[in-house]
Amino acid sequence: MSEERDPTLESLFAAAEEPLQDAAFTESVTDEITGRRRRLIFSRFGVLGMILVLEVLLQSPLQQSLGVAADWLGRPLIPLEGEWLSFALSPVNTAAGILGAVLLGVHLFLRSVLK
Amino acid sequence: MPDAPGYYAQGPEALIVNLAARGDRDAFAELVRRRQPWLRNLMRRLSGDATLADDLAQRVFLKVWQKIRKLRQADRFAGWIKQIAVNEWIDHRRKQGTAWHEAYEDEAQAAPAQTPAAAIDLDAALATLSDPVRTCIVLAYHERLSHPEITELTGLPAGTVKSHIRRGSQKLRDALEAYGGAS
Repeated sequence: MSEERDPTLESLFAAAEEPLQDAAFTESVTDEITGRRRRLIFSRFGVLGMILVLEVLLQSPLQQSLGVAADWLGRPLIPLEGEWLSFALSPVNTAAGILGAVLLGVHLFLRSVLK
Repeated sequence: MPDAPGYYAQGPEALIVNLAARGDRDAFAELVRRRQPWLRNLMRRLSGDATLADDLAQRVFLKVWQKIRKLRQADRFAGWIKQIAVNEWIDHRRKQGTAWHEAYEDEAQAAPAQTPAAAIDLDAALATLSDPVRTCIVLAYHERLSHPEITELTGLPAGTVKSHIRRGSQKLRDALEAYGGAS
C-alpha cells in the first residue's frame, strides 16, 4: 500500500502550525479540574446529608412498611389447619412463593429466548 | 527542595505521566503545558475554529485527568491522548447532529481570525471536506500517521481511509489552488 504524501500539502500543514504556548490555557485546565473536584466533594456531602435526613424522617414509616410487606408476603393464601402442613406448603401457598415462582419462570423464559 | 514547576519541566514525559497518574496536579499541569501546542493545533486543523478547538482541547485534557490512572504504560501516553482527542472530535460532530459517515462537501466555513495566512488558507480548504475525509487528511498530514494507524484511531475501514486520503488530497489541492495557497 503506497502512503506517499503530497510534499506541497506537507509543507502547508507545517507552515500552518502555530506556536500555541499559552500559560492561561494551562491555568484554565487546572482551574477547571479544581472546580470539578470541589463540586464533586460538595455534591457528595449533599447526598450524604440527604440520606441522613431521609433516614431520620423515614425511619419509622419505612420499618412499618417493611413489616407489613413481610407479613403479607409470608401469609398463607389458603388457610390450612395443621402447623406442619402449613409450613411444608408455604413455598407454594404464600404470595412470596408465588412471586418467586413467577420471577423464576420469567428469568428462565428470557434466558431461553435470548440464548 | 526545588520549586515543583521548574523541577517537572526537566523531567522525562514518562515520569511526569506516572506522577500525574498518582494524582500529582503539578505534574499534570506540566503535561498540559507540554502537550497543549500540539493538541490545540490538531483541534484547529480538525475543526477550523480556534475557539472551538481550545474548548475541545480543554475537554480532552479533562478526560485525560479523569482516566490517566488507568493508563498502564506511561510511554504510550502520546498515542493514548491522540486516541482521546480523535474520539472527542468524532463525539463532538455526532452531538452536533452531523452523522460521522455523512459528507457535507463544498461547505465553506469562515476562516478564523488572528492566525497565520497559511493556517487560514489551509483551514478554509479543509472546511470544504467532509468530516471523515478531513479527519483522515489531518491525521495523515498533521500527525503523519500511517493508514493502519488512522484506521485504528477513527474506526473507519482501511479501504475507506485510503480512498479518503487520496480523494481528499486532490480536493484539498484544488481548493488551495482556488485560494492561491498551493502554487
